[in-house]
Amino acid sequence: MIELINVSKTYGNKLAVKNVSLQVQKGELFTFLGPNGAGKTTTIKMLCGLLRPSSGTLKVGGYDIQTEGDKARQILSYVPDLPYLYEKLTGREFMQFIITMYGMDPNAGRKRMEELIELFELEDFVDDLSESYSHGMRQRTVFASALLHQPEVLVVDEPMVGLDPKNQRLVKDLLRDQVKKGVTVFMSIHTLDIAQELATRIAIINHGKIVGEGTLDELRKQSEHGGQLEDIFLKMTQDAEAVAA
Amino acid sequence: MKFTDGCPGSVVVEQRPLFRWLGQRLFVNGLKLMAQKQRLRLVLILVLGIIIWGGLLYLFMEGFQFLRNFDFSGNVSLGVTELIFGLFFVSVTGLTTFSTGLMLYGNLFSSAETTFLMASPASADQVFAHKFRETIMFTGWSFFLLSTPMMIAFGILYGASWIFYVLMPFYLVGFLLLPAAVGALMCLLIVTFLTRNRRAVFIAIMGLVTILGGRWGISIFQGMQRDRVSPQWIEKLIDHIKPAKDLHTSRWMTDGLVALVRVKGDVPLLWKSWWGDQEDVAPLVDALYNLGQVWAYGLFAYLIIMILAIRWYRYAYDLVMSETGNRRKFKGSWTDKVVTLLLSWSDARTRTFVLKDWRMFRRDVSQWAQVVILGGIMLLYCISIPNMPHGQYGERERALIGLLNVAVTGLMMATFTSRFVFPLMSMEGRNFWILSLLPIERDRLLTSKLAYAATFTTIISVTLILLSEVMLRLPWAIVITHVFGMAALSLGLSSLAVGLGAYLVNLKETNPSKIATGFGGTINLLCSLAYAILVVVMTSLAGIIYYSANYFSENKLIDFSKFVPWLLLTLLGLVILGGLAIAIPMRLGRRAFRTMEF
Repeated sequence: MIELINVSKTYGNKLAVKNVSLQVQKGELFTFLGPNGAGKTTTIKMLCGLLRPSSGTLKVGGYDIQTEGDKARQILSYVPDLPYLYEKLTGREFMQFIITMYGMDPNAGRKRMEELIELFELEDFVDDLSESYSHGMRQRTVFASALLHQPEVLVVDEPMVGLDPKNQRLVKDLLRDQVKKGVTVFMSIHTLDIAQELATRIAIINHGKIVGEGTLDELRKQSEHGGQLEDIFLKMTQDAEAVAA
Repeated sequence: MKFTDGCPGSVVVEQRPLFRWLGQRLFVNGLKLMAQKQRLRLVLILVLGIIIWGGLLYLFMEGFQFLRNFDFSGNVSLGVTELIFGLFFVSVTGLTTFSTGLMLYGNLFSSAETTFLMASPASADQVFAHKFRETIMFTGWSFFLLSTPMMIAFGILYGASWIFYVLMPFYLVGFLLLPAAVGALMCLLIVTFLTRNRRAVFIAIMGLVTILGGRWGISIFQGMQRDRVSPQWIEKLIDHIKPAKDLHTSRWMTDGLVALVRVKGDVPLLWKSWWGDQEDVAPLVDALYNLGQVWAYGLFAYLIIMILAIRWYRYAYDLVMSETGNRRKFKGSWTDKVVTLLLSWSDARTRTFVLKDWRMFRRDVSQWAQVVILGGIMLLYCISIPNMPHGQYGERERALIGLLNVAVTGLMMATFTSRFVFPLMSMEGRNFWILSLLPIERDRLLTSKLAYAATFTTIISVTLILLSEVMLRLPWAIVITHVFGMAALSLGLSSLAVGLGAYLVNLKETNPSKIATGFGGTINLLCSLAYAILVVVMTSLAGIIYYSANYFSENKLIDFSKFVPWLLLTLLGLVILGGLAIAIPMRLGRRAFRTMEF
């Protein structure tokens, strides 16, 4: 469902992503880990068509993001770390905007919107202007909007930042539920406990290079470390630092 | 409070109506919010808007009436009006081109909304068109505020028929399309092909515009008859302005509007003339032909940028985004040392805050470029004074020109402080908690902003005035009053912008242009203009008394000692005016800032 073939990205003289190749199958919850500045957000932005790769190919649902970007974005939803909402639109109006943008049938869209409003418990504030929303309210609205057109691929960048335990639980349940329904989730996260809890497969990126990829057990073997994901992550990134040095 | 309204739904995505709906919804919701929660603000905007619009209408009516007084020997006024329109539309073309280009750059490449839309199935050209419309609305409102009373006054004074008032708005809206599209094209071309050097290209264009604009302005006066205003002088002036009128958009607008004012409102007569001798319908045909030209070229330019946006916008967006990782080393500059030196009179903490603001300012090309352009034009003017006809005038006329220089520089400073100083407090935005947690009194933050603004505006304006006064060879007493007036003006304007900036702070907006043109910015600009007028009137006091006394006296010159009390009175008046302009807004600002919660 997601395919990255020898993808590199340079910022001027700096190589931010180096020859990355990945494959994420349908219905997988793929977690993308790495220290700050490792190239996670750059990779995600290339995946969504916000950045063009300097070399290599990215495919979403079989569509090349560079040549068939519109089709790829039609089946994809992106929830950034700082999600955007129009301050002077209500949550409901924002969702109506998304329904039309993705070309959904208006009646089906309205029905789906009501389901999501209920699921994310947005009833109390969905008709208020989003400028009055708290961070949790915004995040829930954005997630509801992202799921409106029933995307085949959900790309999520740091979804837990600033969320209280109840909302974190809500997001975790939602991601599990989406995976069960066959949605491919590509998630970047710094909370390693959650990554370990949710991920079907994990990739660790450091200095733009993939330093480990696979299930938790496969990563344990690759790192020759039998501990928790946190220990594996630290070992693999430190090893990569040593190699880089 | 319910805001929800239906969004156009379609299985086949038609994005144009969707974006139109989005724009309308954002506008209507904003208005509803103001009507329900910020009524005072809405009323103030409406009342001030009506006052400004009405004031402008009155001024234009008087202006056109003045011109009509010369119509006793033929239709002279219409010819002069054509020239004024020509100059006006050329100026607006230049300003709209640059302001659209600059603002569109921010809207297209560094807004959170664009990132959201670019990751959605929205097509690049529709995102571009959406942001273009938003930009044109923002850059166009001041043009409409100025041009509608001008056109209505023109229509009334020349007895225009109802057809003039129906078609005139189409002229004004259509006119903006071409310069805005050219600005958008420049923005897209620079980003697409000169991404790495766009700073240098931008500076080069700005420099070129300053030099050419300045030279053209000066050439209007240079080489002309070096005596008082005469019919020959006016003829030469007209010859210099004529090229502006003959530029395409300007000519279509001018010829079209002048033809439109002649159109008779009698429909049966027009209909008859259309099929008959066509004499009565000729002005209407002329007006429609020019209106067609304005729209055809505007739409053609718009079509071109849309075609280019389809091809280049995503590519350009990637180029700009890819620059973010390209870390540039920012070091201290010699200008930092100059700023520190200039503020050696203040304490170390104040200097630190000022240095922070200065660094932010000098690293934002769009901010300092505007200062350089306007400052450059003023400097060119000052050093060209000896070559201008008014350099040869008598002392009284030269003193009057000196006073006009104070007024113009004051108005320019009012624009500067409204545009650059007023947004300073709001620009702290989400970082305000850093400042508010510092172990210093909040008042000091405000004082540091005042020190920053006052130091720069005073140094720049007083230097310019001093230079122009020396070039005009004015007596020292007049120089003192003018310099003193300019200093009072700069200090007061800085204080108004800082104080009102804190009192009417807008922590949600991050774009300084939007803060400056918003509600608070408009209030500040109006207060600044009113203050500038008061100071200029006060500054003129000593000169008026001195020269009037000389004019009416039989002897050539009155003993200067008799003039000293009037000079002192003028200076005292300026001190009182300046003191009030500093104390009142700063008090308001301090009070609001002390109780502000973040």
